[in-house]
Amino acid sequence: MIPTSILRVSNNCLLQVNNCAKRHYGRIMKRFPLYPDDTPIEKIPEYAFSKPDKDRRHLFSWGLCEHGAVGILRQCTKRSKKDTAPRYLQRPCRVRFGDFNRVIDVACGFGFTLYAVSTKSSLKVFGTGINTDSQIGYQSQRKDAPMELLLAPVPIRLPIDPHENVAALAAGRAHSLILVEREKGKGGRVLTLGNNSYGQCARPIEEGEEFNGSKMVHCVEGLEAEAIKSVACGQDHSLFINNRGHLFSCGWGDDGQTGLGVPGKKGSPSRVRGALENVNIVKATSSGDCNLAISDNGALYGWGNSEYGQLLQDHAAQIYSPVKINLPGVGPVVDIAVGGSFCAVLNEKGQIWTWGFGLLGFGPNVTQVSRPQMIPEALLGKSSFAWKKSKVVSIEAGLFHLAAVTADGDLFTWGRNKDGCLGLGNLRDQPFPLRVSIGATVLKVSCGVDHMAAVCSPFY
Amino acid sequence: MKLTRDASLVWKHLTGIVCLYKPPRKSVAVVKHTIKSHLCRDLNQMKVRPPTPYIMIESELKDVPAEKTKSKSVIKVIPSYADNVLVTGPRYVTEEIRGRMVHELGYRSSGLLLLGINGGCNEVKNKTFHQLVRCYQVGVRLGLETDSGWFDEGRGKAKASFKHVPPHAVTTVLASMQAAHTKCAFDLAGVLPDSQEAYELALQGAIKPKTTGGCVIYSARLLDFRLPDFTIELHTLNETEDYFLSMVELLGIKLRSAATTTSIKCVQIGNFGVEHALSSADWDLQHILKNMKLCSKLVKENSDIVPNLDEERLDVTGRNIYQDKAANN
Repeated sequence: MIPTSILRVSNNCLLQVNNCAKRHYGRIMKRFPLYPDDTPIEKIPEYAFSKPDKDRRHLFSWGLCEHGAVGILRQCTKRSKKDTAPRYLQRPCRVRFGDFNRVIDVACGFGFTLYAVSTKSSLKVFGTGINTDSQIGYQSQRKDAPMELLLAPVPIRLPIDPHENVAALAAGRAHSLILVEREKGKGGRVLTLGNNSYGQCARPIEEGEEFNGSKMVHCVEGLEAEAIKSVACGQDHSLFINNRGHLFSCGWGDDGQTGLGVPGKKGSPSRVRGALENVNIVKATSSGDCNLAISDNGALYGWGNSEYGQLLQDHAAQIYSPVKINLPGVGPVVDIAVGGSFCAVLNEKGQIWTWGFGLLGFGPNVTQVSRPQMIPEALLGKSSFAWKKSKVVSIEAGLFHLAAVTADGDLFTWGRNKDGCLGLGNLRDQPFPLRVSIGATVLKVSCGVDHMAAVCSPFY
Repeated sequence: MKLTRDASLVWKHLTGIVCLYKPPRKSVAVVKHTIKSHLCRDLNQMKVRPPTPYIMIESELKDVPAEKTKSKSVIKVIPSYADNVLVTGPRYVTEEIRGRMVHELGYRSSGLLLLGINGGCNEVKNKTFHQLVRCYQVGVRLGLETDSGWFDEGRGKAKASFKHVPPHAVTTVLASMQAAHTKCAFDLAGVLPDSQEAYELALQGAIKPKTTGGCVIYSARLLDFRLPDFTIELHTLNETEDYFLSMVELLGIKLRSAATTTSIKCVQIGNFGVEHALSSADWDLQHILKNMKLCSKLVKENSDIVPNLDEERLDVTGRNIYQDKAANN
């Protein structure tokens, strides 16, 4: 009598073979059937799969493997010395790190990725990728030999209490921001690490500071006596929003990206005024040198680099102080995404409006749009056969590409396909939104320059 | 409309497209042959062409042939024995009737079939027929997986629990399948997804495949959910019965259970519906002629049927599926 536990394992193998093995197993199963021919169905043991857990998360990543930001060690290591060609993950790949750790948030910077993990220990943030400026902390295997490149996620030692939570992550070119909360939703403090040559880590700039192998982690306790509820990173500047909805910035400001009215570096978070004076800011975002922010009633504000007309202020190449951007016909804005040379907003109806320069989503023939134009909804899954209720709920942008996530968990990407970061299976640019095939429901996606990461939940 | 007993007149009008309802467990070839043989049977029972007249010249003297005597000859005209139905066989035979199906259904599938008869074969070759989106209702039963894919055929491969599966799980998996197929449609339509052509096609909505490569699912939704059975409605092109069977098997795995197909029914092809189809009891000449007339009217309004998706997505108990999903997340 075969013990039922072994039978259960066999059933599991039976159901989870992949396609190539299916034919092979099919032949073997025909010659050596699990149960003889005359076994009645009642005698076949019933298998119970693992219970579905609505909190389970899958982590997917794709793009350039060379710098290890995808976090999949097998893909990043070279097979042999002759294997010199760069490797691109052109399709979403499951990151095993996400199966053994409950990843709740992800942020992609320029060649590195941060993961926020829900755990009872104090190691709540992990990182992978480029570490030349200690943007993922001090990592070393031997004494005094800091590692400049991590090919798999490693924990970042941060002063976080085990009962605190990581509420948000942000990653710029060479610096990281981690928002740590004591109570959910009440805001908290921000830990900054990485390059501070422009003051982007919210601490005074030190001449000649060596960032490689630095163990420095700075903490911003609060701003104007209020806890911080949101963080965002541009290329070399940082943005903070405190509980009262006031926006603060620090870092490089030569293109006006700090929004403080004057160019130059700033080593401590300062209040951004201009058109944001009495406005309750809900979200601010940036990936290059242009910034957008939305208020609680859906109004749009922008500042920074406008060389491609991203801020819709005619003939102004840099805007040093925030201005209100009027979007005729768009309505209240719910989400924003900024690329290097274009901007995109999402309104309440789930429509995406883009403008600027680049592959904006209107086909290969349209590379510049000077006034906001709506991306046809048929491209985002709203064809005559699709569910009319499914609409876009969030948008993200890297320097050269855009991504949109719908309520159904579909991910659409379009733009310049740098090193396979669109995840569409090839290295060609995609001029209009195309759905990325991920075998899961996408909850959150983060865009880096040449890679992307997505936190998903299984279908069921 | 004219009443007639004349088979040749009827034969002239026996050309067009007919919409049939194929019963399960009958191959499409058998259906085609049955239609042809019923048509022949009914035509042969009507007033068919009489045998050609045969002119006989006989002499009065019985034993002497007409050319050897100078007595009077009698000219007789009799029906030719060589052309008699009992000698030549029936006037109308199945080999003379041309038939061509628009698409095929599997052996155990049932549902609509469009058959072009005689002149209708040329109509059926028209690409628009092949691009009419077809609607299938597939019955799925959870709990058992068989090697054939049907619930009552083949060896049982595995059993799994199913009582834990909620309706929103099925809708999520189906929505993802549907979205994934819209991308495959570009390849089957023969355009590169990053071209202007692809952009214009995508703006139109549903992209029709140009080749018979793979199946494209345009819409997949849950119709009825009563554990262990549920029914899904699929709008597809280029589908085969085997594809549905393997799709259901995959669906079972995604739902953490095991699944087999209980029924596959084609209920709509473009604007041809079940109400326009002839059931197997009516596969005779009179009904087929009537159906041809009806189908020719439908062909003129040739269009894709688009499902009415404005209604709320409700599950069997009447709750809004989207609200349920939000509560579960």
